Amino acid sequence: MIRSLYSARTGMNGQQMQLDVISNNLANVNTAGFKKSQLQFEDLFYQNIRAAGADTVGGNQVPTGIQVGMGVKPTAVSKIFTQGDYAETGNDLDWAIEGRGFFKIVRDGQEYFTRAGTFTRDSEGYIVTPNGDRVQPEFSIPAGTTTLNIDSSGMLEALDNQQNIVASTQITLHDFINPAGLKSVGGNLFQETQASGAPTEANPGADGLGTIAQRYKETSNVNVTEELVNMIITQRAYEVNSKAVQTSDRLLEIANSLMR
Amino acid sequence: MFIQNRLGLTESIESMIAQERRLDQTANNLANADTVGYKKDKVTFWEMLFTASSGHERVGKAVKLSTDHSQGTAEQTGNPLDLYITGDGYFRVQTANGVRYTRAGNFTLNRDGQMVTPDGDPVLGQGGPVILTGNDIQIRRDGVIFMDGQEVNRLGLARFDNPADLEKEGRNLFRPTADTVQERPADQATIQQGFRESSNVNTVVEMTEMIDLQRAFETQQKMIVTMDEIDGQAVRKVGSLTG
Repeated sequence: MIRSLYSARTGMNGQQMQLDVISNNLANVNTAGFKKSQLQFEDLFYQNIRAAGADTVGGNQVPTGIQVGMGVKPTAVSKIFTQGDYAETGNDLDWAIEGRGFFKIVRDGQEYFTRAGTFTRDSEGYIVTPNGDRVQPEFSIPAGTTTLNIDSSGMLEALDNQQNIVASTQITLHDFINPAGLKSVGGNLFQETQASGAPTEANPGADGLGTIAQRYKETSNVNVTEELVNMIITQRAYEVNSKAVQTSDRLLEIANSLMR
Repeated sequence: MFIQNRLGLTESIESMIAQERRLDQTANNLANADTVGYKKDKVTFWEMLFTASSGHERVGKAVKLSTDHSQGTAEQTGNPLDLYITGDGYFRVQTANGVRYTRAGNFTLNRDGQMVTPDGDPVLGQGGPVILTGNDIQIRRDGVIFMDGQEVNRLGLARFDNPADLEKEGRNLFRPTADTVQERPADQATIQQGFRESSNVNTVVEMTEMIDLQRAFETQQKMIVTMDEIDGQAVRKVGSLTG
């Protein structure tokens, strides 16, 4: 009796967490470079119950070793790194990655990785994220630059009004064996973890990395229809679990009314 | 008469406990209505002969639990590491306690590029753990894995002669019920990449199950109340001269 109450509770808790994940995905449907998350469930452990061990007439034991499951457990919230769509922006500092890879940025001496290539420049001319963190390798756009070009292999060139190259650098990308193991830290940033493995650095287009598309940004890979369908499923699953709680309650009530 | 009354009481209590078992299963099934690769449990009853008292026998209800291994529907995810088995077969997973079996094909990679379950247990191919360190992963219907166009491994699916040879361990895993249980290669099963198997729990069935068991529970409770009344009558009236 009590078991069913608790199993149903794990179900309700799990669905609630599922809704948290879906809401966050939906909230970021317009966030550049956002990668959707997905909650994974697995069944909780099983309790082995011996049935009332009566002997059969033939002298055999009742063969009723039964197992009762204890509900469900959320195992992992994994990021799904499928490609988002591209939106043309016309902005020189909007760089979308077509394929695998991350830009590296540094904040307070810590390395972070991002796919949101919507950069801007700070007061010293450095290329920074909208939060002001410098893109690696650091590059300061010289005064007098009129055009900034980055080709698909990551060669960044600053040109003056005579079309002379005044500064250039090679922008590199970083990849992980298991990007789903990266830790999201907010601000479109990810951090390396034990699970993701160490980053490998290479030029865009090399070693299986994606290429860079200037004046485009990568939109979020959240699919609104899919999330809404998941939301309906989640709501209904929550509901049926609450019915299991109700039924458990009703059974307890009936049992309690045995004693008049 | 008195003894039979007591027997009826015992049977009613047994039946109520059995209905509780049913609810435990139903609640667990419902909690896992969204769990990848979950297989629902069913409680069935069967009649058994019990020894009532020395020299006397009675028929009682025994609870039998079985897992319904029927196929869950395919849910499209587009994730190259989500795999769906069509037909009779299980993925083989290496855990700390030995090889375990699962239908939950929601795999991921770890930092060494090994294909693992969400709990981090490596998935076994015919050539050992599956290691994927390239970019483009293609898995053919027969389980052959291509990494950037090169054949690297083949998923080893297992099947069992009798589904009752497997019991649940939790974490979406099954284990053999005994050491003598032999796994066989699943030749008939095929794999679909980019899909995963949803739970085979049908919420409509589970809801009607709950209504049914609640009523059955209620009926047995009424039986007990009635028997109690009869006993009460007997105590009050037997031996009374006024009747």
